[in-house]
Amino acid sequence: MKNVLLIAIVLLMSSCTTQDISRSLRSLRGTALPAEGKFMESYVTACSNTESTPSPDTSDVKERINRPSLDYEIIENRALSLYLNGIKDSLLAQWPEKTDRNIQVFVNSARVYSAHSTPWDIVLSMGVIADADSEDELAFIIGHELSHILLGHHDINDYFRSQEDVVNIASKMAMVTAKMQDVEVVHNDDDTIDIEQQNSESTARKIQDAYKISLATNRICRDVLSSKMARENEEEADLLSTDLLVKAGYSAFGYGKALERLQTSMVFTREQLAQKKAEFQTVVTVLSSEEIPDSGSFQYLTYNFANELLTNLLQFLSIRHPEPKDRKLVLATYIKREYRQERRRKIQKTELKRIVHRGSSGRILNNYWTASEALRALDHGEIGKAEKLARKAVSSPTSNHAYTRAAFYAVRKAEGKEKKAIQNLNLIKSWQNASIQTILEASRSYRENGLFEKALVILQRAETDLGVKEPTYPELISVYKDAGNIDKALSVFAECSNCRESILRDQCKIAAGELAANKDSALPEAELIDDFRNIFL
Amino acid sequence: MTRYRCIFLWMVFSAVVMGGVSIAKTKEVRILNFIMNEIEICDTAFTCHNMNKSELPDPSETVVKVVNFDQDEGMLMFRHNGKDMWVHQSEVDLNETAVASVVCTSVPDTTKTSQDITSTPKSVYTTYGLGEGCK
Repeated sequence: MKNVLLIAIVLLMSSCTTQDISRSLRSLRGTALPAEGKFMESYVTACSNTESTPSPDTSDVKERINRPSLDYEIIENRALSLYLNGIKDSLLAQWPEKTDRNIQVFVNSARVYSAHSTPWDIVLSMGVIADADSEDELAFIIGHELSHILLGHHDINDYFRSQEDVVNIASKMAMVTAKMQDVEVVHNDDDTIDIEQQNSESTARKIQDAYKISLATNRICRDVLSSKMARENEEEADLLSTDLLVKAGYSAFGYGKALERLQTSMVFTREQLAQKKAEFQTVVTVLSSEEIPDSGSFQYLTYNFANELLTNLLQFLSIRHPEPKDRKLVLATYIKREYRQERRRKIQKTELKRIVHRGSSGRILNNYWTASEALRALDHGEIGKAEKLARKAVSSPTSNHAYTRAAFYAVRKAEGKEKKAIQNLNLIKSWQNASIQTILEASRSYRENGLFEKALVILQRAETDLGVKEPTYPELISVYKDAGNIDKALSVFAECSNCRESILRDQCKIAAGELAANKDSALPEAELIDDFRNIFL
Repeated sequence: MTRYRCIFLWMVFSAVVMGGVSIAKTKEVRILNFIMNEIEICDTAFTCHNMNKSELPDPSETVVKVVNFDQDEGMLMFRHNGKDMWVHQSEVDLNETAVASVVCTSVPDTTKTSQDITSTPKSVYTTYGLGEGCK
């Protein structure tokens, strides 16, 4: 364990430098709350003093590559969309610099009270829309996510991603070097040379160590360091959101119910907590350079204790948001100091009620919620109840929506009614609002029923409407293989082999089956050349 | 006479029952904590000044009932030493809070099949969201 800690400290100092991040200066103070004055004014002043623009430089804006929230369906509700984007526009108008980014607000089909942002979009969950009882509450949430975009917080992902690449390259070089040192060169009579890999035990240990160190470095960088920065960024987003809220005419206390609901939603089962902990425990176990002692021995007790301690520490340090009660205190202090009158502004409810709970918009949201209840009933094995709810969910005006039809599809599948299940897929008009899982499931259903053309059309929608192709590779391989188009299947398999995600490459191998197994087995020298290629290309 | 007495008794009985139901439905709202050391307290004339927490009732030792609520301004009224005191809701913790309809315990572990690939890139280090999320 002493070795583990020593390695961790050395790695943190050498590989995870934060010198390039200007926010590290603020992190020394420990809070984003300015000593006096309003956050937005002090931030803008600080940025103009350091000759950088407060809003993200539009010349660096990466093009929006895909629809947000691909793991969920997007709710199609024009009135709601106009309403939420109207709130976003009124907040954005308070930011001193104009931005060319076309930031949009979406609502996804998640039931839990949550929201997130990408560099281009803000996504609220259906749970937020269902629970919010004032426009000020929605405005705080939208303002919080908007603040992440305006303050350039998403740039941190690029930083840590490039760090991971550096560590991975270093680790691969260490592994290749070990392999290179472990060869025997045999001079033949005909002046040719054979390279024979010895595969000694010491080399195997060196390779294992190089892998372990890279894994540990990347996890610590990702879970601990980035979380520290994330916590500071969350505080900044809370403060800026409050400034934007007040300037736009909302109550400074808009955060009140949002944080309370957030806190009440964070209730976990024992299994969920155990799963979260297990993720960190594997990192600590891998770091251990010693064999795990026998469970009956005294050494096992000390090993277990150290393992538990490190796991809890990693878990604690990796929490990316301050606790809701701590956030509440910071904001309460801030608004008392800066917005004593504005915190007494009347909370606005009328427009929200009109848009969310009445008319066509209200019916749409009701149907989506009913669809989510159908899926929940299905999870609990209540198929009869699920069917009733799913049938209600596809009533007008959501009869052709991706989410409601996907829910009914799932119910029909559970009932074993394959043809009726496919009928539901055929009725979906707006695939651009479907989740990637729905698209893949639809393709699989079409493929299993011999409808290969339809399967390919659906997978093509993933690329054109959602802006992603890689997650469809395994299913594409399966479709081509089942349709007898082996050349195309191999072509997609070759594309998939160059993907960054190892789980995706594994899935492609499974999908390709015997096609992948028939690839030539690498000769030792070819393996080394491949290793070099993997590092530099 | 008996008929009118019955009607009268029925009316009284209904009033008592309905009144009791109304009382039973109205849950008592209490202040659980003053979250800062200095609390802004206003009197009925809405003249406000900061008071030290030590000069206010200790909710851990005595029940501090909210007896009035100005919804428009978010001000709560309680009584202390015979005086009516108004405080802004941001400076207190209450026993009644807003709740989320769905909690993390009800979120299924995964609805994905083993064949599905998550579209969320694993190399996204920080998820900028409202809170930690359920996963």
